[in-house]
Amino acid sequence: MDELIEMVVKYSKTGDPALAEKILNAILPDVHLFVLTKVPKQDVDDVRQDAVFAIALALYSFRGESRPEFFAYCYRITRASIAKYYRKRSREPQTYSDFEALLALIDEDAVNAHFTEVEKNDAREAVELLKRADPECFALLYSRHILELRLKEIGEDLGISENAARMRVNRCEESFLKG
Amino acid sequence: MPNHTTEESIAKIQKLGKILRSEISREHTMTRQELAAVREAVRIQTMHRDQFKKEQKKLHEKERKHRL
Repeated sequence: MDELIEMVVKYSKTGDPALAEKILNAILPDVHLFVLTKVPKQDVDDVRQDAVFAIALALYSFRGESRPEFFAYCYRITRASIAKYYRKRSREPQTYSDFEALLALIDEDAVNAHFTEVEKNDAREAVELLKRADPECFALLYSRHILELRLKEIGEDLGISENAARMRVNRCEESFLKG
Repeated sequence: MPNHTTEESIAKIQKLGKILRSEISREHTMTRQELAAVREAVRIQTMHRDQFKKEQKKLHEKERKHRL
């Protein structure tokens, strides 16, 4: 069993606060990446904090056995926090594609130490590719290839079947990722 | 931008995901407020769990007496 899932199982038996902190720390980058393109930049931290609280509250109830199941569970909770954010403001959810922020992250000093110049150039090219996509396709490609969501979860998010989600993702890949 | 296949583009986007995740895990660690939120959530959960256990115990006791 995956180390993260082992911690979750152990936490649901023991309720050890240190374990909860470890688990939340481990999933924080993914939760951050999830929120990043769904709310305005200035509100990312607030929504992330709400999501972290909600996930910590729900940790006990997770009954799955795999990492993808656990991340799907966390993203479902995060999605609810994002929906709450929009409900409070009586606004429709939107996609925020802050490419400058993504490029800035690639150029951080710490990245230089861990990734080669080729990898960084590829990442910059990837941002350019995502820039070409329309907002709907950007959201789909980001969910599928950056957040690594399964088609089933993308379908759930959009209220469509897994097959329909596959078709939409394929269409976006064909339209925007072909050279 | 050079010509590339769909698969190559996908691989590049996935690489971007890895770099972003790695950088965010360094730059955006858990804030003090988030840490407090996690501790509060654990406290609430533990309280609920203890309460639930107490109620279950009471219920079992009641059932046992009823059977007698």
